[in-house]
Parts: sequence; C-alpha cells; structure tokens
Amino acid sequence: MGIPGYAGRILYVDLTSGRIIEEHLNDNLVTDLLGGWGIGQKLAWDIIPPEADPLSPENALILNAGPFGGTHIPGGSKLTFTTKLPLNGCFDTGAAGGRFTHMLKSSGYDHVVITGKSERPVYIRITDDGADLCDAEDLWGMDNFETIDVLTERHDPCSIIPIGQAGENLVKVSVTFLDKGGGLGAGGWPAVMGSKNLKAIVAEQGSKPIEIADRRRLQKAIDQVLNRIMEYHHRPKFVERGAIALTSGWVGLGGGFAWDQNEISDIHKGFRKGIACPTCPMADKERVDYFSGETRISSYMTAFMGLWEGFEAKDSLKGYENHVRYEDAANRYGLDHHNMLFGGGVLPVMLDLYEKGIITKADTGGLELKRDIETVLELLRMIAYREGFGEILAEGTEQALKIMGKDEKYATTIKGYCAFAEPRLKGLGTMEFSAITSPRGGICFQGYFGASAYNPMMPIQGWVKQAHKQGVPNEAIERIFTSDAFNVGRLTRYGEDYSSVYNSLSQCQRLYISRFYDIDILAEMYSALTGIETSRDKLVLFGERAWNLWKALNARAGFDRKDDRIPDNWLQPLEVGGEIHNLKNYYRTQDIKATDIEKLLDDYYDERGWDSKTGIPIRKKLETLRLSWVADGLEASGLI
Amino acid sequence: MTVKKKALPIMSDSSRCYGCLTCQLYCSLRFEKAVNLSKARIKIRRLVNKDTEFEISFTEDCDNCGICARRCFYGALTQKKAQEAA
Repeated sequence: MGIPGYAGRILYVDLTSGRIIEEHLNDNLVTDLLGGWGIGQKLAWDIIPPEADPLSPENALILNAGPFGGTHIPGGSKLTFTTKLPLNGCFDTGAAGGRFTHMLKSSGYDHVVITGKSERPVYIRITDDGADLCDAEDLWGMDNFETIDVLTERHDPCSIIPIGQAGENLVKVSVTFLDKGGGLGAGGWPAVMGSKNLKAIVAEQGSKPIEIADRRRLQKAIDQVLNRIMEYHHRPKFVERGAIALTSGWVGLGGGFAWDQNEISDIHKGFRKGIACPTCPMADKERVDYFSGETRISSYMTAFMGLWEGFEAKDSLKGYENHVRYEDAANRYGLDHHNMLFGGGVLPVMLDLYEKGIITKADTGGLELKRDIETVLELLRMIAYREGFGEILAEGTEQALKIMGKDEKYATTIKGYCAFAEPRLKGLGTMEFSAITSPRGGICFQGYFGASAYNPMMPIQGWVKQAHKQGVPNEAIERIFTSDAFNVGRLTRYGEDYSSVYNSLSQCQRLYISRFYDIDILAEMYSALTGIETSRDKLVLFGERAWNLWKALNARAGFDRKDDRIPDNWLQPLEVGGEIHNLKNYYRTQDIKATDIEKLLDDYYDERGWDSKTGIPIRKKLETLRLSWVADGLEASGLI
Repeated sequence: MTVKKKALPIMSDSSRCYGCLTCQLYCSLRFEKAVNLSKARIKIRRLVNKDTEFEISFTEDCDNCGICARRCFYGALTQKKAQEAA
C-alpha cells in the first residue's frame, strides 16, 4: 500500500516503439518534491536532453497530478505539465483545470511521460490496465471541440486533451483546451503533440481508489474552506456571470482593459452557462450559446474575461459578438491568447506595424491588414494552417519579426514569450516582476499575492497580511516591507514559491479559489490526506525546492540572467486614452529605469541565494535544499 | 444495499448542474471510505451536442442517503422534504 493521496504509479508511453511501461512512484520522490509539478520537473531533468529540439522525438510530454488532484478538496483538480516549449525553447510548466487529474488517478497514475514519435496519427487511451495507442487517422484535421465530442462518445466517462489544427501544423503560438475549458500549454504544447503525431490523450475513468489517511480531519479542513467560499458575498454574481464579474479592478493584465467590465458582463450573463472543474464551487469555465439575427455560435471558453488587451481598444474586436467569434475560432484551432492577442502578441503587433508602414503587403504576401473581425479571423485561419503570411506568424511575434528582418524590439516579449502584464498602467508589482524572472518567460501569475497582486494601489497592510498567509518568514517580512513600500524584487521570490506549492499539490491558484486558502490550511489538508505530518515551513520549503529545480532545468538549457530582462517597450511611455503612462513602482511614487530593474534583479537573486552574476542557483543553496544532484548536473554542464 | 426507512427521494435538476462531480466524489467516500468515482451511486455524464450539458442518474444501489444533495454547490440536487414525499 502506497502513500495515501497518491495513486502510486508513473506511466511511460514511447510512441516510437509503442512500448508502454509503468513504474512505482518512489516514496523518496514524494518526500523530496511533494508531487505533481515538483516531481514533473525531476522527470524532465532525467528524461529530456537539455539541448533537445522541442519538436523532435527527444522532447517529452509530462503530465502531473499532485496529491490533491483527484480528491474532493475544493479546487484540487489542476493538471500540470512539463515539456520544452517550441515557442522559446524554455522548459515550461503550466496548470489547467478539468477532469484529467481525477480520471488519471482513478486509473492509478500520478504522472504520464510520453516520448518518441508515432509513424501514424494516434491517440493515447489511459485505463486501469495501462494505455493503448488508438488509430487517429479519422480525427486528424478536426478542431479541438470536434475531437473532444467524438472521443467523449467513445470513452466517456473520461477526460480529454486534444489538439486542433494549430497543433497538427506545429504552430508555436498554440494551446489546447482540456475538456473544452482548461487552457493547457500556451506557447506550443499542442505543437509538441503534433510533432509526435499525437492527436489526443484520453484518460478514462478507472476503478482505483484514492485512500485518505484521516478522513475526519481532512473533512474538517475542507469544510472550513467551503464555509468561506459559500459565504463569499460575490459568489452568486460570479456563478451567474463568470470571472468577468470580478475583474473590474485588474488594471494592466494583458495590456489594459478596453471595455467597461460591468457592461460586458451584463451581456455575457445572458449567453453563458458555467462549467465547473471537479470540486469547484465557482464554475469559471463556460459554454456560450450566442445568437443574434442570423448569427448562432455555440462554443466553450476558459474564464471569459472580455479579453483584457489594448488590442480591443483599437476597435478590432469591439463588441460582444466579435469577441465570441474570435474566441470560438481561436479555441477551436487551438491558438494561444497569450501569444496571439495580448500586449506583444502576434495580432496587435502586426496590425500596429502595418499601420505604421513598417510591414507592408510585400511582407504579408499581398494581404491587407485591416482592423476588423474578418481580417482577424482570416489571420487565425492562415496561422492555424500555416498558409501564406500565417506560415511566418505561426512562429510567434519575436521570431516572425526576425524572419521579416524587422527590429525585435517591437515585440513586448520576455524569453520570447509575450509579456502578459502591463506595468506601465498598474505599476511594478510582484506579478509584473515575476514576468521578468519566470523561467518560462512572460507569464506573471507566479508573482501571486492574492488580490493585492492583481489590483493597483492596494494598501500595504493587505500585502503584509497576505505575505503571512503565504508563509513568508517574519524576518523576511520585516526586511522587505516598510510602512509604505516593499522591495518587489525580494518579495516576488515568495510569491513564486507559494505558486510552486499549489502546482505541486494540483491545487487551483485562480484568485477566486486560492483567496480562501492559506499555507496553514494547505499544510493541514496535506497532513490529513497523506498522513505525512507537514508544517507551513515544510510546505514552503517544498515550493522553494521545486522552483530551484525548474530554474536549474532552464539554466541547463542555456537560460541565465541575460534572459531575465525587461522588454524594451516597458521602458518607453505608453499612451492610453490621451494619457501618458511611464513605468513606475507599485505605488507609483517613482519612475523605474533599466538600472533600477537590474538592482531589483540583484535583490531577487540575493533573496533566492543564487549567483547574481549568472542568475543561476549556486551549489551551497542547492545542497541546503537537498538538491545536490542538481548541483552536480549544473557543474557537469560548466554552469556553476 | 437496504434502503433506509427514513430515506427520501433525491430530486435532480440537470439544468443547474455544473458538472463538478462533488456529489459523485462524496457518494463514493461514503460507500468506499476512499475517493473512487466508479463506485459512486450517482453518475454525472457529460453530453455531446445537447442543450443540457450534463446528465444526472442514480444506480439501483442508491439508498437516498442525501449526501449528494447536501454537498451540491449549485442546487442541482435536493432531497424532498418529508411532507412532499408523503
């Protein structure tokens, strides 16, 4: 009998040979790396060569379900993944909601490792008995939703990770939609699946139990959280309208709001039906049945936000119908909103440059780039099928500019991935700073500090309170905070470690779930579930350990301090609605210049105990974290 | 499984179901003392190309204990009151 809370096995599928084997989940992996994402990093370290071409058979697709995944813990349904991303060559990680962790663990597996390349299109079917490779010739060419519909009819109850046409055609700005709702793998996970001739991964509902060490103790902790959630005064509005109902204060994510969020949520509620991931009382995934005149669209979305980007401010997608048409097309093809649409995304950058005459019809193959929905939809199609100009755009903004011989500074990217945040509108908080330090590049959610991090100008007391909730040591809080400011470089480290805990547990970190949790309740739940008595400090240490491993994984692939850089555009003034916005600190009391960013990065590396010259973990730090084998690996690569 | 004397019928409204499987998870916990979706007496099935996203059904072994209704977040499952059942 294994450790309660864990399924206890790792499934290996090699698509080249068709060999399928399974291994016992070693207890040492659990005691060192907690589970889920943490163990996924270790598997990637062992299996994927640092220099592997992301679209080669050497790259692997690693799926991770942590201990909370598959249980009845509210929000315990996040599937995390690890692969080497085609968009930027980073070892990536991400988390998606949906039923996959529940189905996978019901068949007795915590992790799936997929290597090699199939000769013909296949899909993987995971069951109690292991896995089968099933013919997918008839599915090839279908979009994400069509694929899910066909496979649901064949295998339900199940969970499905499909790819659409973008993945089949190895588009690097691609993403998939787990169970039609959970965005998984922005930056080209589907392209890695496509390169392996893998159309889908299906986890059928198995019959294996997940044991619980102390059911009463766990239920007590669950009920404590559920009471908070069910009494949350915004919950009815949220369930009726979805995530857009609570985002009016979120300035600057994705480039700034263009619409009045209340106005758009008034429209949206009439067409949406919420869909919940397992155990979720908030139901942020959605089915949309839109109709107006002759137009009828039935589609699925992941946490509709009314698209948060400045792109819309320029009237390209203005209007609810245009927005739904965009999301439906992009989600069906499997095109990634982060790298298509947000600040430095393919669409806004190309349309801007076309208007400025920096790119012309000579670059676009004669296509006129107009700011209207028809042009946008045609571009999506061309990118998904790599047709004409779409062949270049499918490489992502930064690479497309290189191919066209244009200056890469036009791309607001970090490590080749679009910068998700816009600190010139909001100020440089932990989320914005974490976009710079993220080993994946661009993504900002790991600088998590609850609602404080999402909103501008939140009171310092709220930040301090949240820091305590996340397990930041008291001595660090005293060093980092003054009465009216904080060192964003130093504080960001602790947001990252906390995120790392969530990913390793398979716990949802979306604000509308995670705001009801804290490090103590997570530790209590983990202890009750697994029988491994765990304190808040121990849990934070797990988070730090996994983050260091992720950083080392990327260091071995060639990323270092030079890549933790601010996008050039962030240092230029931004004009919105006739007002000029410069990069400032979180409380907007002083301008931030490039030299200030370097100083903050020094502070960040110092807080992490890393080498500030290289931005890479040092041996002493790694040994303190019981990661001496990682230090050995970095040393063998000449990195430390 | 013997039906409890005082057990009252569970009413389901699939239009209010969000598919969170919480009912199924708790049902399995009650019977199996472990999480095991396949052993639950209530089944939530996702439908394809239907107006209602989910279908709710019960196996013959369901004893109307009501844990599914008590744990439902969305009001899709309710247990009939005694006077209504009479």
